[in-house]
Amino acid sequence: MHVGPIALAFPVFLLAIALEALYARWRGSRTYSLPDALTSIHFGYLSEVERTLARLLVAAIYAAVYQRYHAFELSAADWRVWLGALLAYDFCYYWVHRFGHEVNLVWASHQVHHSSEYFNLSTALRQTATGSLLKWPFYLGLAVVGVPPVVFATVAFIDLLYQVWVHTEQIGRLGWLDRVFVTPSNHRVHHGQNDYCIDRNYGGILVIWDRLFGTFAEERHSEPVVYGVRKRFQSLNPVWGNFIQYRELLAASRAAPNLRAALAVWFGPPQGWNEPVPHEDFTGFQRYSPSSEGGYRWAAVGQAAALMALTLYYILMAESLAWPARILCAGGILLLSAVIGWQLEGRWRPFTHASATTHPGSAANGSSSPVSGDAR
Amino acid sequence: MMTPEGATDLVLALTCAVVAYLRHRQSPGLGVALCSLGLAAIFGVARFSGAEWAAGPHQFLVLVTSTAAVPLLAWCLRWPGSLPSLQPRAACLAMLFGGAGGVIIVGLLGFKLWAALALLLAVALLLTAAWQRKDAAFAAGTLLLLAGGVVQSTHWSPAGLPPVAVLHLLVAAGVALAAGPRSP
Repeated sequence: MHVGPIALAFPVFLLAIALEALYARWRGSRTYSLPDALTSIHFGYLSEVERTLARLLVAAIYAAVYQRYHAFELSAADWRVWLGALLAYDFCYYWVHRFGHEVNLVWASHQVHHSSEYFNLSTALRQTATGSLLKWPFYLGLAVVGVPPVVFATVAFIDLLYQVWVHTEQIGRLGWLDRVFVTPSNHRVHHGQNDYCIDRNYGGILVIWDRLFGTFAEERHSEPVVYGVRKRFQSLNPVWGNFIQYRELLAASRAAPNLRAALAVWFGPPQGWNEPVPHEDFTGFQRYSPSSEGGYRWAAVGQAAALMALTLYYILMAESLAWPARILCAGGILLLSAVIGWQLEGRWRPFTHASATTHPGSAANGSSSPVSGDAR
Repeated sequence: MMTPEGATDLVLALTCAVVAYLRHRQSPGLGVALCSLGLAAIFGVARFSGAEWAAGPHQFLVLVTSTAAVPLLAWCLRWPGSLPSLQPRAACLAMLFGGAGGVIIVGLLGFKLWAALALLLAVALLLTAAWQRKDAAFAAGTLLLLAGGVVQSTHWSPAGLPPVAVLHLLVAAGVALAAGPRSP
């Protein structure tokens, strides 16, 4: 049994989420919604499942490029190598993240992380399950310089881990730190859909990359951040959430008049080439909060516990499982997370007459303001 | 000590830098492609001057250049009004996905025909562009780049120069004539 770092960190994440939720409740701030937080965690499960399937391939590519083309024999015993690798990784991460927002194909994957209209530690776990295969080319430079695979994997994990704590509304501004490091304040801006927040603050650990490349924005107290994406994801189904944007891109490219336009759909920016951010008024904005009956909600919570057990088993055992068993297990996680999502939305009610059968993505079951979005 | 391959790589790097500087406002995509070609040449200068550490990065960049930068260069010259030619983001994406595909298909899977196909596509684009433009300098540049391809595949060289040095000179002259500011 191989216990990976994510599996080890998982109980710590859950504890931190519970503590933040309690603290927020004590302060009287409405930063948590149980269905939303559960959905974020379920997105995280799917992301981990994908990693167990795709990680080997991506790691193999990095290792092969390192072996064939590396310039220097950098020692993993030298702390300067680690520091340099972390800085270089963070620089590459800035560009990966920026492309994630500015190229439709990559945004279709990354929008998952921004789809929640709440902002708390559970949002950090809301990760895409389709991203691994799109990001790796950005990091090949590190392999060519000679960053050993073990150092690369570790700094990647450090960069990822750092970004957990910045997903909170419970920590205010931190003075000069907000202008050097990625902090809760400047990351709130990144998750906002207000005009001034769009395509800002892409950094992973350091926000100086944004200051260097002109994408930095400070949080404004005069304008509270409205979280989420303008093309609202009004569903609690993580499977649907991972594919909705690809479906829309496919439909748009099919409707394109020629090949050039079809390619531009996939590789263009979400709001068009060099177009200004369209103004959006968020007065009266209400966060998506579907109304499921209490009984079904608590049934979903019970199933969520079962899903957690299944996912942890899978993450711990994946490497020792045969491929058919892996795929069966991954399929089970996918199905259960979708079923829980439907139950939380009140769409799927076994043993009673279903009253809501609308397509996921519509606002039929949720109380929400009719904010019409642009391409984002 | 700098070998003939190193000296000619320096000529190629300088040519790419000058042409990229002159053309990047008109066609950012051309600038991106030439920067990639120039970067590969800079590592070539280091490699052929005795810096062994530069061999890997040079090979890597040559691979990316041949599977992504050269086709992008040809694309921008063939269709100067296209998105990869006018939008830096589109050009970077073409480099990224083209280069990543090249690294996997040629570098890791050993399917070298892919690089040859990419160069063939570039040559076809340049020839059609030359045919359309009726520009003598552009046509001469295209022929020089084509001659570079012939030298690379046959390892033939005149005047006792190493084939790689001849390739560098032909590509430098070809780039200057085909992509230089004389062409529209």
